[in-house]
Amino acid sequence: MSMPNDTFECGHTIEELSLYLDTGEFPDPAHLESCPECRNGLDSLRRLAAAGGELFASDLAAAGSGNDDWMKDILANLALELRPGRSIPLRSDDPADTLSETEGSILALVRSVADSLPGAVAGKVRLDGDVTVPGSPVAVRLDLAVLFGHALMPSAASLRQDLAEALARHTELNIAAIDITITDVIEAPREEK
Amino acid sequence: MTSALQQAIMAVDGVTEVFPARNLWQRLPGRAASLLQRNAADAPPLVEVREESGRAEATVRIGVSPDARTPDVVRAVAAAVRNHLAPEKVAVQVTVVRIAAGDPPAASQED
Repeated sequence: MSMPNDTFECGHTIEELSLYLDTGEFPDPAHLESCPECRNGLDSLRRLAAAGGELFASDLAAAGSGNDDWMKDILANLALELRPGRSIPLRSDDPADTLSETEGSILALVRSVADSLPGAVAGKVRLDGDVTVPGSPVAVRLDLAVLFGHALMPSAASLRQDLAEALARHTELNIAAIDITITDVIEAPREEK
Repeated sequence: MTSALQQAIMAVDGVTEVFPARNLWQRLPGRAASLLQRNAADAPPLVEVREESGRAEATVRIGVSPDARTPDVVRAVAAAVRNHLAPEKVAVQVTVVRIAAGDPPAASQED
């Protein structure tokens, strides 16, 4: 399967992580214990592989054939979102302290919640707004690829609720909107003629 | 000291992991760092405490459980670091870099 070769800040790539999940081989195995970005990437790839086992096996196997734009998009976005990104402040009890969470950790959180929706895989995830300023309105934009035949509207409403709860639990962001866009509807694999 | 401090941080409810205080690119340029970190003696400090103009600065990067409330966990970690280093005055920098279960990164595919 062809994959985007974007290099993370740690010097590793999505392709290396995918190879690790397939074969157990990695240039520096100890690194995986200490790198949160690679750990988040492994989590996302595992969920993607699990979704593939259920729904997208043919597409995963054929990724790189030219008919897999949605999968390429997901992997390309994943490579970008695994970077730490902006620093999101958290209130501190002591004025000397600096407390924060990385944008990458929140994007990974959003992705994990979205991936838990049956028949769906998160595509692009982004936080629009100045997340570095406390109280500034922030919109969550989430693209989804879904399997044909799933009821979209109830699922989207449920997902929006789950995302709102997760973001309220794990951030102090002023979430002004959660916009979910279905960007790909995927047909189940068909038998070859 | 940092090992005991690390234990104090891990004892905070909701903390799943303590990651090296600095990103790899902040420690050494490029992937050369990977080649140099082949044994425990070369491993980067998980918690960094340094003196800065008469005041200690502690830098911590953590993972948080998805079941916890991250802002509360972060404030509790800052308090734990301050208590551990007392009576020294300290500025604590805590960054959440991962919100997930703290399972080790197993390689094998389950099925």
